[in-house]
Amino acid sequence: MSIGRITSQQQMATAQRNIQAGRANLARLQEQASTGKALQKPSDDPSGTGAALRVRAEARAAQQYAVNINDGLGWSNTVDASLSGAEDLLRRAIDLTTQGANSGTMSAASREAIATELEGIRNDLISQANTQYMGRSVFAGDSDTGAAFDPTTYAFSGTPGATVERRVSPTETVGVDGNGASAFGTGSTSVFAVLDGIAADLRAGNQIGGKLTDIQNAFGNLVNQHGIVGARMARLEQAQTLNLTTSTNLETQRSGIEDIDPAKVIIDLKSQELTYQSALSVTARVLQPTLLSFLS
Amino acid sequence: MSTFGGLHTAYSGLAAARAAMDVTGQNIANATTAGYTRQRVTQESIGATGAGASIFVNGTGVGTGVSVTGIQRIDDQMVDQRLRSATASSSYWSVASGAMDTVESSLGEPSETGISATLGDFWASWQNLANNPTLPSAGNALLAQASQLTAQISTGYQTASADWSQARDAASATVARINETAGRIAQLNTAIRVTVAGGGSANELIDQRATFLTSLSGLTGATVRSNSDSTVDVIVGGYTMVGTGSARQLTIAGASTLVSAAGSPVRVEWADKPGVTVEVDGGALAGSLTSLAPAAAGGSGGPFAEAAALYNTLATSLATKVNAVHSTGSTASGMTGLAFFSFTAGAPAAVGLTLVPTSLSGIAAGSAGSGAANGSIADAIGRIGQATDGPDVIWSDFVVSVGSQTRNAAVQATLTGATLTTATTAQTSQNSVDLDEETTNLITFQHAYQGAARMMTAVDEMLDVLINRTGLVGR
Repeated sequence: MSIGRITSQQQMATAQRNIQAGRANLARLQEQASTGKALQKPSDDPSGTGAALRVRAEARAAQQYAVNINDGLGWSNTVDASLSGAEDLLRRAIDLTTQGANSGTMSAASREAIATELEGIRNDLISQANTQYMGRSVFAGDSDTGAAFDPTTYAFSGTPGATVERRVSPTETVGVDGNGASAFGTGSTSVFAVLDGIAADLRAGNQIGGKLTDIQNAFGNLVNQHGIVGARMARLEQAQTLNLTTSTNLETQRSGIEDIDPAKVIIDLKSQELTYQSALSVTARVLQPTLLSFLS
Repeated sequence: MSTFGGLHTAYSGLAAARAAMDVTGQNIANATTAGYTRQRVTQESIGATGAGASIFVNGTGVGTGVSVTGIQRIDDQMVDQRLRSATASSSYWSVASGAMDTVESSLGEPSETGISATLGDFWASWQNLANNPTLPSAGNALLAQASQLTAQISTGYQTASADWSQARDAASATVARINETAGRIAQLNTAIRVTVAGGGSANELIDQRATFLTSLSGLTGATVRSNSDSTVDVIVGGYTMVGTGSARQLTIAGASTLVSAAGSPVRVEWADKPGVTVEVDGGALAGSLTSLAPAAAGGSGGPFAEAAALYNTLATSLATKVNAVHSTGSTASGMTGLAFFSFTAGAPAAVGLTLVPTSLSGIAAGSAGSGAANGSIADAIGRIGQATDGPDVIWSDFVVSVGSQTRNAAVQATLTGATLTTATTAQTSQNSVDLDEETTNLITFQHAYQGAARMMTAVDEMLDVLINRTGLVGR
């Protein structure tokens, strides 16, 4: 189109349109600068929106893994503490048994004293074996019974082999409970029954030297389980560190997709302000004069 | 030429200058009237008396003045036509883009509260339940999260449905405006024909008609055919909507709710020819009809129906995926084969999605045959969120597709808006009044008037000499 007539109406419309456009740009940049978000709605960046949704979902999952890991660490720490307590108790029981094995030199009263202490140790062991975390017995696997071991029959109430798992990543779970059956034994072969047997033999005046092996075997079982729990705790802590790194990376990604580059937006905003002000001042100059102003 | 001929010549100049000044006055008065097209007096010089009447007349003859032949409306058919087609496509895309914007903002993504965030919380609740399968509060938290999710899906569907109904109301209103505008054009056609046939100037009526024609094109994408008697025919969808003196009416037909739109799509028919669909080819009405279209394969249907269909798909996928795992699990009391989600019969899936369990005792968190505190099924359900064909992916794919469609529509709206600006500029450049130009013309005509008056004085003085002072020699 050649340059045709330029009329006052046309000039006015163009000026209005330019001012409007300037204002719209200014409003958009102001919104970005004040919210800090470059991605306000999907159409701002459709593929970025897809990435943002995926990253957000992954971040939400990572947040949940952190909860799972903390819960798992709570369980493991409880198991760890109970097993340490049980080991201390059993060490004392071994000492007492060794002492009681020299029964020939001991009075009945001393034997009775040792037997009584061993029974006390047995009670403490049972309470360690029935340790609870948030209402669940930590040695009872996925059973919901209040106690892992019956205090009189020493029967194990948990499902043998069942473990309590915590999900620490999309692909991995870590067991967080203690295997009560392996650590303490069940029923008549349990460590509690062994202690009872020693106490009974002591009272009856029988030789208990042969039982020393039993109690040492029981101690060995506890230490084995403790080792397994320790390894799982290390795994949980490792997962925690990894998860934290993942969360940080995801947040960095999300920010990269959704957030503005403040320096760029502020510079854009400043230059748009200048453009807008120029448009206003140019319009004010252009629209004023008509031929009539110059005719006398 | 006769002795007094000069007086008549001067008089015709006076009359022409006065007419020109009147028209200039009209232009200035309408400098800001929307749709006004500037006018000019067309004038012709009048030849010598009897010039060319006979081959026996000879000698030099002087012309005998000027005559005003008419008042010309300075417009350009091509420019007007371009403006109409630009208005049609701009209106179409502004309606289509508006519909996409509505759908896009109803999604509420990306945010901390959208469906994707709620889905994330829902899966996390399952993980929490897996951690504490015997804790009633974990079960209640999961159920609360699940009902929030179903409520959000149902609200999404209902929003899409309400938006569809609003768009349909808007389409009805558009049809009413089209009919009214067509009626006005028909009336103006008649008035213009009568005026022009009677030799009058119909410029202002034509201005009005041009304004209505542009607005009708914006509404329907109508094209215009000019007739020799100054009337126009308006063509919509290949048929004449406005002929000489009469206008046909359009009616909107088809479903009045989103649910029934698939069976009976919304369409436009001629009031005098029911059952025949008018293929509206552009303008706001075509935009409305496109946005009201039922859902189609590949997501190419109208945005509202597509959104509603997606909410149904999402609800179905969520229920299928969760139930498939949940039914293999066992509750604390050992019940198996239970569903977690169910559908109310007769309602769309998105609206009919309900929860089956009412408390922890109805949730099958553990695998069958395991201990009462087993959470492996809850863990497995919590992992559905990562499935590549799960509800999360369905949702985010939809959000991305709506985002890119909205963007495309917005780009089209901007482009056609720019074309419309160009067309409007060209039209105002051609038609609108320029005050500087009119001022210049005013001065010119003023001087022409003064000159003609001076001429008259000169002739008068000449005659005075002839009549009053001639023949006094020797007195």
